[in-house]
Parts: sequence; structure tokens; C-alpha cells
Amino acid sequence: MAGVWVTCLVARTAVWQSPEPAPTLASSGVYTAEQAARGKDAYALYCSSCHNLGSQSGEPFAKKWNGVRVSELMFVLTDAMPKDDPGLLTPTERVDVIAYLLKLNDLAAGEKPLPEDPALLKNIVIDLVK
Amino acid sequence: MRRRLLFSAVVLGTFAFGAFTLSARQTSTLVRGNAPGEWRYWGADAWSTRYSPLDQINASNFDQLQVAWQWNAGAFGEDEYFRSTPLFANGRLFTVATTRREAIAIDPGNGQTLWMWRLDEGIRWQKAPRQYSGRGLAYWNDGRNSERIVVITPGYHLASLDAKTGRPDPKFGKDGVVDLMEGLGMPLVPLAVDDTGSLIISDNAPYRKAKPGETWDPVTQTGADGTIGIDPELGQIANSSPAIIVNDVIIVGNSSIHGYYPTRLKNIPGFIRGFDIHTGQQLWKFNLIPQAGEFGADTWANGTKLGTPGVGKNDAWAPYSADPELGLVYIPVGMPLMDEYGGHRPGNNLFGTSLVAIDVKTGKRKWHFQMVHHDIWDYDNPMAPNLMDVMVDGKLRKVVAQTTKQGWVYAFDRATGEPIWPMPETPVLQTDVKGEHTSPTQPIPSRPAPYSQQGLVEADLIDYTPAIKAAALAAAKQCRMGPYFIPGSANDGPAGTLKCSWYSPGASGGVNIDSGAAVDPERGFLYVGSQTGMSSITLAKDPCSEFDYSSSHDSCGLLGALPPPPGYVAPETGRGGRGGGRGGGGGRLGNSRIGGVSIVKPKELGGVTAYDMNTGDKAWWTPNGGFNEVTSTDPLFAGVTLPKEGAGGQPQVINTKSLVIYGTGRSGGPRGDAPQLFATDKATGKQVGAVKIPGKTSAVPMTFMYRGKQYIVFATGAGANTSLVALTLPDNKK
Repeated sequence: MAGVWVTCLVARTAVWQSPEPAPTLASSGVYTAEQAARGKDAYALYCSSCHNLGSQSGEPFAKKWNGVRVSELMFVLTDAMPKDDPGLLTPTERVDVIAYLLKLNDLAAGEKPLPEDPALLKNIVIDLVK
Repeated sequence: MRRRLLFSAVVLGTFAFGAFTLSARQTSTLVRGNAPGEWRYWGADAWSTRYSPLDQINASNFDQLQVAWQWNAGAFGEDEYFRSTPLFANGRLFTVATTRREAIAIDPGNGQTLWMWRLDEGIRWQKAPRQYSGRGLAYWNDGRNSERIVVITPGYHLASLDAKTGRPDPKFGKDGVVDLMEGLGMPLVPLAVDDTGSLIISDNAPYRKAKPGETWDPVTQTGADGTIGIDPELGQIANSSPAIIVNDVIIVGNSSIHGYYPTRLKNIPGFIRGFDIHTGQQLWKFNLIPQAGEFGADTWANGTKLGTPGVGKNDAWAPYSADPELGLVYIPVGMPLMDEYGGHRPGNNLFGTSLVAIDVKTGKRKWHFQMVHHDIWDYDNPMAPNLMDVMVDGKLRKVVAQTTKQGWVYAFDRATGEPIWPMPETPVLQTDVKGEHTSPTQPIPSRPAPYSQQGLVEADLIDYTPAIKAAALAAAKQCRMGPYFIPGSANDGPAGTLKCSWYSPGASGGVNIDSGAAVDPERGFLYVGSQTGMSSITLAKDPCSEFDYSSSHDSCGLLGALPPPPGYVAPETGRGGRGGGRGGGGGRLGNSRIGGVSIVKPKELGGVTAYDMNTGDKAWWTPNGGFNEVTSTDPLFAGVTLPKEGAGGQPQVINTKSLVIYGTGRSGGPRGDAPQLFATDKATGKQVGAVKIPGKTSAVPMTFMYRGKQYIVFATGAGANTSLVALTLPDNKK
């Protein structure tokens, strides 16, 4: 189902009007293929028993995360997940899982790795495209 | 109706080992259904002791263990996390693997594949609620020369395979396969799909009934592919644990969809059935949601007819145990439909969250005990119960002990169901959520003591300084507190009421899918691997679900969910917008940590707890592989030395003649430590060995003797990187 979701960022314009530097769009290639590959396994290990892929791709994912800063996704993975042991994943595992989720939602890999620093992730916005 | 059941048996090698002829020893000296040195049941034997009398690997040499071989399950396909506990019988190792749940035989000496078998289940696999390898298989032999491996597939078929070759038994079912969707009294219809994805949590995007004349479109991969199944209007059915074979009867249950975030008020109930090992004929069916006229039906105030709103599940998804001599199988039953809200199913909801003893010959209930009345905590019985014979107050007692998510061991006389120690019905907190009707009492075991944190009361809170105590109390009081069985709170409760409740143990236990207990049949000890912890819950209305409440979730937009109601506004995303629910986010209600420090004092809970079941006393405790340092940059903790806390995760425990052996589980153990397998002294709990392993155990290990060498085998990994790892001693260390 990934790839058929048409996105609209209008509702999220507040993100763009921040005084911070212009955000980097996740569609510009903000993670590496290696991160996504590792993230696939980490997702299967830690996440998939509660969150199958159908719930994290296409419309369900877009509904939650389109137009949102990657730092927010990082925050959930840091502070709330897994629900029985929040904070379990290492920072590397967290960004790997994020990379995998971006790939799963048709945002292509690039040359630079997704950083682990939440301050840097704050400047990356998930912009799902058709 | 047309049936499309393609199967492929790939015989990669059939070896004429002399050891493969069943010996008199293996049939005449069975102990609890297992041959000494083998591992014929998921839990080692029919009693699920997870015990082996082997002692070649012991405290003096455990640290010398080496990887003998590593079998690459990922080569056969991807999986979720690898949950298999293999069987060892008559010189072969048997496992499941991949999302297709292939059945595979392996040479135990070198890890080479002997044969593999899988079934092409079409869209019944595509939309299977439990699309992963499952936990394992069942083994049977006739005491002469016939051996069978029995597997239940993700698409809910039962297959009986020749253990030597992997070929389906032509005398069993149809070409070796029984369609488990038949025989349940529900109509089967041709199936079709409109998308290429899997089922979305929990019941969204299922398959549908095919239209007349509808065919398969190979380009879009949609349409009707010829498979048949239970009318999807009734719900989904699945399986994730192996059958157990008792006195030539295959005992088969089912699992269901996840119980969190369902959108439909009805689903298929749970069943237990017996099948003839020789023919595959269904012998009997036991309804885990009793139907009109059956015992327990009156515990459902709105009735139990299929399709009744609120009726569904009560699925026994964990492995089972049995006493072949008594002819009883012990079924740990899960909870009814919808994990956190039961307003649509008033009553105690038998046999939800119960242990049910069933006569394997007749399928009749011998006895039952309901651990949680009207469960709204997701306290499914998650693990095979453990059988043991112990001396209690000078009398030999035949015991079945059920470990649970809620942190208690419930021990019964396994012939009668009488509690070994009193479990008085005790008044508990009552709900204030609209439409909910909680049970006024719950049975509370007087012993053994619990192995996981129970509820949250003021005495549980950290109090290292007055300021810390005050901060912890303030955080705790954000949500409803209590000693146990705290009902969930709703986000729309009356002014002045709390909007969340502490959930402890949470839905993950306690004991859960990955952990459970082992029994020392010689000492009468029970070794429980568990986790301890706490989360919180806020109930809310999912605008696109038929349920009045669930844990916070928005299903709108999901395939198969209800359309958004008029005036629907999508919730804000990200931090602060996702509060509550099952865990919520930081800064939210129900945050049990301050500056990264739990508001609950560290206790000797979780990890591995040993009980002397002769007395019900706790014998020893050890954390799951060690402790985690606790530090914080929050000024609140400045100058305070914070005590360590036991590492998290679910220890995966087995025991041998002298050792309790455990892996930390896929997410357990001290943070940052390399994956290890641990050994502790059975009597004291003192760690006597630890060995680094290629990856954390992702399922309960097993052990066996093969050609003079003891092996320990465990599953590890997830996705495409799954494997079985075999450890053994160097030749000069035996």
C-alpha cells in the first residue's frame, strides 16, 4: 500500500514557519541503505510483534507522521517504545528503525546517514510523496 | 467450493542412520512422554518441565561452551523475531522457520538441513493474523517405526509429516493435511483480497468473500485465488503455538487477532479440538466461549451466539501441557475480545483467562479455574502450565502451576483443580468507566509470593530524599493507584476523576510469550523467568471503531475501519499529541520515570525467581543477566546514589541435572552487554557460568544428547537474520 498515499503539507505549515533553518525534507535522501537494512531487522526484533508493517506504511503511517519532524518519531522510540521497556533501543537502533520506516514509505535512501542527535533530527521533516 | 492447497515437500536428504530406528529404550523408558536425553515436546516433555537430566554440561565447564554450528533460518525466508524452540527426537532436530512456518528437520551433529516442508496457503497466508514461524512443532511415534511431525500453519491447516522424510502422511486428512477452518460449524466461502498487504492491527484490511465468478489477477495480485476459508464477516482465526499430542490425540487450539485496537465488536471464539493422529479425523470440539446450554454460558450476560456484539476470542494461544496418565490436557486460555474494555461483554466471560483441564479422550471439561474474572487487563494466560509432583504438608500432590502475566503462580491439584494454597476471592477496585462492569472480586493466591510488581501503592515509591519522595508521589498520583487489578480510567471521565490508571504488571507481564517457567522434578522447584515493570492506560473512544472505548487509538483511514464520524478531526501527531494509550509519550500522563529514574523502588522481582513448590516459599532470585546502573542528570537526584535495578526482558529458562540455564530474551539483559547464555546453580541461584553467544536468545532454548555430546540449541534473530545456534563442549572438555 505504500506509495499510493497523496500527501498534503498544508495542514502542517506551522512547521515550516519556524524561525529555525529551512527544514530538510526526508524525501531528499536523509538515511543510508545500510541503516534501513539494519532497521528492518531491528524492527522485526523489537517492534513487529505489536506493530505489523501494514500499520506502519501507507495511509496509517502517513496519517500519523506526514509533515512531522523526525525528532518526534525519535522521541516516541526513545521515550515510549517498546511499551514494556521504553528506552530499550540504542540510539543507533532507533535511527535504523526510523530509516527503515522511511524506506517502507517510499522515501528513498541517500548518501548521508540519519544522525542520532535529536537536535539534528528536529530539522528533518517527513514529507511523504506520491 | 474449490480448494487450492498446494504443498511442496522438499526432501533435501534422508539419512539412513541406524539411530533412526526406534529403540526399545526410547519407547519403554519414556519419562513424562520424553525419552531421557531428548526433547520431544515444546516444553521438553508433556509436563512442560523444560527439564533434561543431562549433566555433561555443568558448572565446571559451562564457560567452555562453543558454537558447534549455526543453522541459517533466514536462508529459507524472512520472519518476525524467531520464536522456535526445536524438538529433538530419535536423532533428528525439528524446527519451524519463516513467516510461512516451514517444518524443517536438521542433522543435530552438523546443522545440515535434512528436509523441509511448507504449504502454499495463498491469501489465507497473506491475511493470516499470526504470520510468523510460531513456536514449534509436535512429535509422535507409534513405538515401532512410524514417526510424525505435526505442524499447524499460519493459514490454519494441520499437517502430519513423516519425521524421516518430511513427506505428508497420505492417511492423514487429505494428502496429509486437515483444513482447520472446517469442523468449527462456520460456513466456508471462497476468499478474495483487494490489496497486496497483510492484515493491519488488529482486524483491518482482512480478506473478503469472493464475488461469484471472481478470479485472480496476477498483475495486481488481487481477486480470488481459489482459497476458501471461514466467512470473513465472522472474523479471523489463526495459530501461533504447536499442538500437543496426548495418547494419540492431537490437541489443537487457535489464536486470534491482537486484542488491542480492534475495530469490530465481534470475532471468532476460541476452540480446543482433538484429532486422531492416524487419520486426522476430528474427534471432539470444546468451546472456550460456552454456547447456550453449556457450562459457563451464563457468565455472558448478553449471550454467546456467534456474531453477538462483544463475543469473540478467549483463544488459547500459548502452548499446552498434559498428563498422559490422567488423560488430561491443560489449556491456558487467553482473554475475551478487546483487551482493555469489557463493556460490550458483561459477565465473568468464561473460559477467558482461565486454566481448563480437558479429558483428551472425550473433550469434556474436567475442571477449570478462572484467574481473572471479566479480564480488562490483557492478562491472557501466556505460557504452558508446568506440572510437577511435590510433597505439600507431608502429602504427595500432583500439581499444575500456571505462571501468568499478572505476576502470580496459580497452583492446583491437577486431577481435581483444587488450589494447593488458598486463593480467596478478594474485593478489588471498581471501574468508573461508562458501560464497564468490573468483577467485584478476583482470586488472589496466598502463595507463592508474586514475581512481578503488583499495582502501585505509596510504599512502592522511591523515597531517597523528601524531595524525591514528594516528586514520586506527585507523579504516581497522576494515575489511579492500588494494590492490583487497577481498572483503566477514561479520558472522558467526570471532572475530578483521574484520566489514567497504573497498569502493573502491564500487558507484557510478568510472564509473557517469550518466558515462562521450568520445573526441577527432583527437587520440586519452579524457576520462573519474568519481567517486572509498569505502564499506564487511558481509555478513549476510537472514532472509527465499533467499541465504546479502547486504549487511545485512531483507526480512521485504515482499510476496513469505520468511516470517520461527522466533524472528525485527526489528532495532533508527535510529542504531547499521543498521550495516554498503552505507554503514551514523554511528558504524558502515566510517565513512571522522573529524569529517567523509575518512581518504583528496585525490588527482587522480574528476572528468574525460584520457588520451592513443596512449601510455596520463594527460594532465590537473580536478575536477568545482571543489573543496570541507574543514573540521572535531573537535579532532583543530585548527590543521591541510586541503587541498581535488575535488567529487563524475559529470561528464557530451562534446567538440567544441576543447572538453571537461561538466555536473556530478545530484548533483555543488562543494557550494552554482549549477548550471553547464563547458568546458575539450581539450589542457590548463584551464577556459575556465562558464555557469549552470537545473538540474544529469541525463544526458549532446549538441550539434548547426540552421539555422546550434549548440545544446547536456541533461536536468535529476526527478519532475514534468523538462525538456530548449537552450543557444545570442545571434545577435550566433555
